[in-house]
Amino acid sequence: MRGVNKAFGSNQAVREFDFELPRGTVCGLLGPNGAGKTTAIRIMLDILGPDSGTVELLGEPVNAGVRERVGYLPEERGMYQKMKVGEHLAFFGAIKGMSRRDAGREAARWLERLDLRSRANDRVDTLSKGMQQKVQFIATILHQPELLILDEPFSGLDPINSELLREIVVERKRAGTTVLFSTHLIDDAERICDRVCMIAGARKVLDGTLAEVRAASGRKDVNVVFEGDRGWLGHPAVASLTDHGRRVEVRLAPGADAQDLLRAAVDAGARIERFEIAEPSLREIFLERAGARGLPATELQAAMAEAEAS
Amino acid sequence: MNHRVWAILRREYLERVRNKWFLLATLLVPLAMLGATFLPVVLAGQSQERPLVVAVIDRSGGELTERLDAVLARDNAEAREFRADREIATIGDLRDILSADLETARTTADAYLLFPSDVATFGSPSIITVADIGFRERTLRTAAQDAVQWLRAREAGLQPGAADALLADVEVLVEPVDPDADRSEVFQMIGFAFAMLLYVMFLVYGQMVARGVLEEKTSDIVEILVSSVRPWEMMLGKIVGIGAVGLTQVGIWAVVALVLSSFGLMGRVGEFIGATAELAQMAFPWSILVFALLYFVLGYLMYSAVFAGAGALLTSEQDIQQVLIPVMLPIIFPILIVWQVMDTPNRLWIVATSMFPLFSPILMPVRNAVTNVPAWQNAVSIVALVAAIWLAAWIAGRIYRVGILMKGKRPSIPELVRWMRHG
Repeated sequence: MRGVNKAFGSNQAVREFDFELPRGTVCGLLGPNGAGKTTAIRIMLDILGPDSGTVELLGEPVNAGVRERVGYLPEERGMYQKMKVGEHLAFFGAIKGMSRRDAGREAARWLERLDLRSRANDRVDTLSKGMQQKVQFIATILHQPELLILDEPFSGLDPINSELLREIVVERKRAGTTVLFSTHLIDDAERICDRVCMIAGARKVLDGTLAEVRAASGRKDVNVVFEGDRGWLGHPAVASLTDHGRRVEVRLAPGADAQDLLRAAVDAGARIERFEIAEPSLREIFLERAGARGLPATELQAAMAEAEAS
Repeated sequence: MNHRVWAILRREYLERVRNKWFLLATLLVPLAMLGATFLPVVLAGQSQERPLVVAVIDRSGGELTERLDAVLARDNAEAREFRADREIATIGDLRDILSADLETARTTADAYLLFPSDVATFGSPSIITVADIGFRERTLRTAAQDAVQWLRAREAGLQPGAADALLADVEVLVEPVDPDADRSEVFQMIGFAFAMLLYVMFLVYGQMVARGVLEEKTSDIVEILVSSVRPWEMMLGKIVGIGAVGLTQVGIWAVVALVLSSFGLMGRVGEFIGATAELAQMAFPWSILVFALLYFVLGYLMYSAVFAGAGALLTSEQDIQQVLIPVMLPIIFPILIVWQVMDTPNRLWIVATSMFPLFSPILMPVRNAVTNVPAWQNAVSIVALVAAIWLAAWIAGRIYRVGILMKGKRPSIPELVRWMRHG
């Protein structure tokens, strides 16, 4: 996506959105509620036309052929309640261009895998919500799409089933599928994503591999446990600190090197027991960036951090 | 038609045809129609079993009772002299006597007829009914008139034979110069049946389309579909799939009708409406059936496209009536004027109205049944209808495209116009 804008009335849902997803990676789309994740996904799939900007899927402008190579699981998951599970899956397979026989065979295989085989001839409305969600997941991956776009795929599932679906996502990735999924569960992103993209306030605020994102956060904490001289704590690399006496949590100034600080401490004659560089967790970055969008004062900081990072 | 449209069409069709309501409606409608046709025959047959009895008080002294009895005998009725305990001079006297003992009055006769003494000059006969004689009241009145005229003719000096000749029924035969141009009552009935059937089918199946769209919206299934299927493909698949359900139903009815007619039931219906001879004489013009089917298919496509667009505007069940009523008006209007169309199918305003695409799907089959519609009128109205289908599909498609993803508030008219312009 390049320079995509989309407004609903006076509400700007997506602003100057650039996004590129390398093939074969799993990318988490993060952001607070109402940030524009679903709108961005809808634009990618050409469900909504952008006001400006261009969109390509799998290297092509979005057309009927490309759509068939994509699997999409929206957050609002509808099902034909009166259809039988097997027919439901066959229908979605047929829409994606599968023959009835292939769709039937694949559906049977996946139902078996997700422990739903005995329900193939039951009506959808007799299934529990979690089971319906699994059936929808099957409908999304039945035609072995090259690109999977999942909107909050694991929400509302019990731990066993959500683990099972995660396993399948990772498995698809190994088979070469590109996966984009939106989530508000950062742990999910941290565990199975190669990349993350964060949207807040209709803008992209972060995009890159996990390592890049951490590095770009421009923030490092150092936990030091020591005895002796405390003068080195006034070193320019220290932006702020929380002093617990023997243990001190140091926030490094943007761009500062922790090694400089360590050298200064040793030179000052402090006895260092522990010197630990703590990279911020994705959760902290998320909160920092997402929060920044809501608060004008910190927005400036975030903008500065962004400028320094680039 | 690509595989996506085909998959949707197939799903829409199977879901509805497998539904038990489809089976029930398909079976019940012909039963109800048969019932409506045969019930009057059966009932009329029963009520004619018992002869109508008229008690006559004849103060003219002109043997009117005998004359009346002779005339009524043709219609399974009889006239008897009524002898009361006291003298009956006026209709008031008669009423008093009857209401004094209604039970006896009812066992004696169904109606009481008084010929006053001056009936040969200016007086009029009066009838008091004590039972419900329904449409046979007319028989009775005609017979009484006949009796009085017969008396007056004799008073004027005619011989009894001459009076009989004077009053004998005169049959007037009416024949159109071109038997095709002005068809008989049978075709009026066929035309009316077409109108009702098309009206019901358009409304039922149109609403089915609108409800189907609403269902997909409220169940959020639309979101998954639009990621794989273009809105126009969804709309086309839905409309054609549901239309195929309608054709299946009509087909089943046609088979039922053919089977019934092979048992000779149609002949009995024809007999009842007094048209057997005509039906037998005339080769049934199959063209009117073909036209009806053609207008059904085309009309369905046009109306259901509009219904699909309207369905995309709905956000909840409560909206249905409000949004769909304007859409239903063009289907209802032809029914309001169908009697005029059947009466005078070739008047200018009726020709014009019936060829107008919004109304032609119902009115043209009616006109084709009751009159010989010039070929150019059928041709022009079909071309106009096809153009209207195209236009309706274009407008509805644009509304549909935006509408199916709309939730919450229903759009205003200016918003709709914007959708159509930019859609």
